[in-house]
Amino acid sequence: MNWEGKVSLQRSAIKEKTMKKVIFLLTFLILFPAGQYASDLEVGAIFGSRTVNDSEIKNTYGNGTFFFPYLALNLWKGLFVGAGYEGGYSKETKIGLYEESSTLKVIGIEFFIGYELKIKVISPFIKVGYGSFSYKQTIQSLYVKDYKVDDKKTTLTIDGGVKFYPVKNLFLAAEVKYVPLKVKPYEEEVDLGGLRYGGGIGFAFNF
Amino acid sequence: MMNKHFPLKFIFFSFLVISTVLAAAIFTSSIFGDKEERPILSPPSEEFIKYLEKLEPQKWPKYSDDGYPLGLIPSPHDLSYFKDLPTVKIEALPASYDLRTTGKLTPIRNQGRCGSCWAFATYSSLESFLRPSENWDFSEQNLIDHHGFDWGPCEGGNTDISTAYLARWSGPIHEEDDPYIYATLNEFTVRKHVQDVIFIPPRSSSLNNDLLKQAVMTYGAVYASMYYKSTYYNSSTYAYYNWSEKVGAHGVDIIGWDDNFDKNKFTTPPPGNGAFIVKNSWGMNWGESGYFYVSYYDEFFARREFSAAFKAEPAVGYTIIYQYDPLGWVTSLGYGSDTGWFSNIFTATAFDPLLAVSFYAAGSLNTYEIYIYTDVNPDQPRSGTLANLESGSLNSPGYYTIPLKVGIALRPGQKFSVIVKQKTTNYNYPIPFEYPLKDYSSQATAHAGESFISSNGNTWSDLHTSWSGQYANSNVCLKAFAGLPPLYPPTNFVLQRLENNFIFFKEYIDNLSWEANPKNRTKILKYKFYRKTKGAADLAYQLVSELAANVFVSYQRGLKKDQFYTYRITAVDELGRESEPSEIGN
Repeated sequence: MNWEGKVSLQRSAIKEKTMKKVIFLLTFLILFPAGQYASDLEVGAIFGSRTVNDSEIKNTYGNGTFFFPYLALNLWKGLFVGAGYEGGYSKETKIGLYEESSTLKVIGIEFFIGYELKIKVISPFIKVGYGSFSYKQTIQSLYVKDYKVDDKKTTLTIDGGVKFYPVKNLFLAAEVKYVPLKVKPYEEEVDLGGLRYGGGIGFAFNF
Repeated sequence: MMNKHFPLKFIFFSFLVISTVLAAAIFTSSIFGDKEERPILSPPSEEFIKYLEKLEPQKWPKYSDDGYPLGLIPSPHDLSYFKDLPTVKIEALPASYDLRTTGKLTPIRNQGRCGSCWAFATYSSLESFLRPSENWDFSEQNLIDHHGFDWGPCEGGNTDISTAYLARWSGPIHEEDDPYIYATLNEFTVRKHVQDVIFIPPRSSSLNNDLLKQAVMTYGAVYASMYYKSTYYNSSTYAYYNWSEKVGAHGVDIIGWDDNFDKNKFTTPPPGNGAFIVKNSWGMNWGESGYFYVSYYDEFFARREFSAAFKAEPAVGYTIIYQYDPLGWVTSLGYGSDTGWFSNIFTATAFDPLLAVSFYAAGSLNTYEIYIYTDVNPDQPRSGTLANLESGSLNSPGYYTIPLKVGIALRPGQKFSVIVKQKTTNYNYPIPFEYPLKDYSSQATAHAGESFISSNGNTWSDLHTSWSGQYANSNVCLKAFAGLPPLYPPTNFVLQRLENNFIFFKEYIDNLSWEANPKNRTKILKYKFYRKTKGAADLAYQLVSELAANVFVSYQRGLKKDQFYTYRITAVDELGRESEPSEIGN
């Protein structure tokens, strides 16, 4: 077997182990709930800042902000699933040797599953998601019109935080999310991934 | 009273007086009379005599002792007058220099089983002169096929022969038009005009090398002659040192030097370190990828004949060449002093104005005066109207073209003369001429009323009709050029590939810059810019843009990483002429 085959096998093994760990954690949390059950339906929105791993993107377009409205459904004993939309990162700057006008926009739709542990008014939670992120770069130059940076990529996300219920069903949340997002539309690989530091508000409906 | 013998005495006295006066008149006439004195022919070199007499055939074999092709025929010129040339010291020269690192060389060629080393050495020099802004491959085949001397294509030659071929505008021809060994066309386009060939005198000592070094730095590869025998070649160090045997005459090119080249690398150590870096024409598999090192102390390397740096001008320019000496400088004439006069009378064939004159200079220091007369009488070079007078000096032997400060108007059918008074310091044969030497240049021909020589510029002798026809088929080496001033392409054409980073991808940009050629004498109106995909045939060149004469930079944007082009730029002058291109590629 050549080295490429070996690397592929190693990667598969690592993925398998990671998946096993996640399944084990979720099973553990479902079977051994420590607090009250979560609400049936939850809507919320998170706002905050986001970083970009790629140093060239960071230097050119900079870090940015994001917003993430979402809807979640409680399944069983704090286990929930949901979906949300990530927007907000849309930057405009001059780029290249000739400082031509350019924009970069990254948006995403994310489906997630998570577990929330409610301890009185504080509920820490953890989420694992699967998102589809779109990225689009435009450059105002006649010379690069053959290049189109407008594509999508799916990725796993991981998210953790805490909710605070000052009154029944209304909560404030703070969370940190990491989105790995390496893309390669042409010969250069660019890491659009990064951390999201957000705070938000939401409401839980009990049916 | 008168003596009775008075009449007899008177008659006898009268006879004596008349005889004395007549004798004196005849004697005076022979010394100071109008008849031009007989010139003296320069002696040929010893090696040339031996070559003609085939006395030492081992010196002129077709192949070296280890089977490699040779091909150098000795020049007729006796250069012994350079043997006492004082050592020239040029302080600014570096201890080592190598044209291989400068982009001034064309690739190593292979002369095959043909005595054509001289042709390869000639074009290696000429192509090197034009590099790096122009990348040419000239046809050695055409040179050896059409040299015009008394032997066939693969039988050898020398720098005089290649100079004659080039100076008469028989070449250079493009290699594609007449590829080595198989000629395909009967008519050829001359790609360049060789108007100057710098001759570097033979080295008078092992360390008198600075003139050669300076020529390499100034012009590029320099044609040089040597004797090759494998005994003197160290194939593991590529070092050659021949200290004793005149065998295997060969033409090569000097392309650099190393003053510190270790003497112990030679089969027999010479007295000191130092070697020339030499380009051969025996393919890449011989020597150090076709190159080798010749000791400064080699007894024969660049020491027997002129070394030569060939220069070229654009073929866009002079359109008419007036000449009678297609075989060029075969030998020389003189009148016992280092000053002589020579002239050609030409008949104008077009209205194109006369712009330049060319001739050979044989001395290490030469001064000249050029006279142009129009509407001259036949057989009288110095008649009609003096139209131009130029003077100057030439500090090296060679073939030179002297542009006239003012063009001279001509009309078809008009007779005009070109006269040169030349002083070749310390060399008493200042008149270069073409001469039919048996087994060498016997094809030379001449006619009455063409070439004239003189010791004083007043009384002239027609070479064809004087001295009982001794020089009936000889012409002086004196050419005249009419047309328009040469149009040179832009210089310092430089390409730099830039990366324009858009993060997700890179745009590649070819940044091209150039400079106006200061040699142009007509006003440049614009530059035309062409490109082709790298490796494509020249026919694929496409016009990209036309740029104003004050624009000296162009950015070729939107290129991909693997997208490479070769570029050409030409100058267009006020007369609508487009120059030859300067070329550059990634």
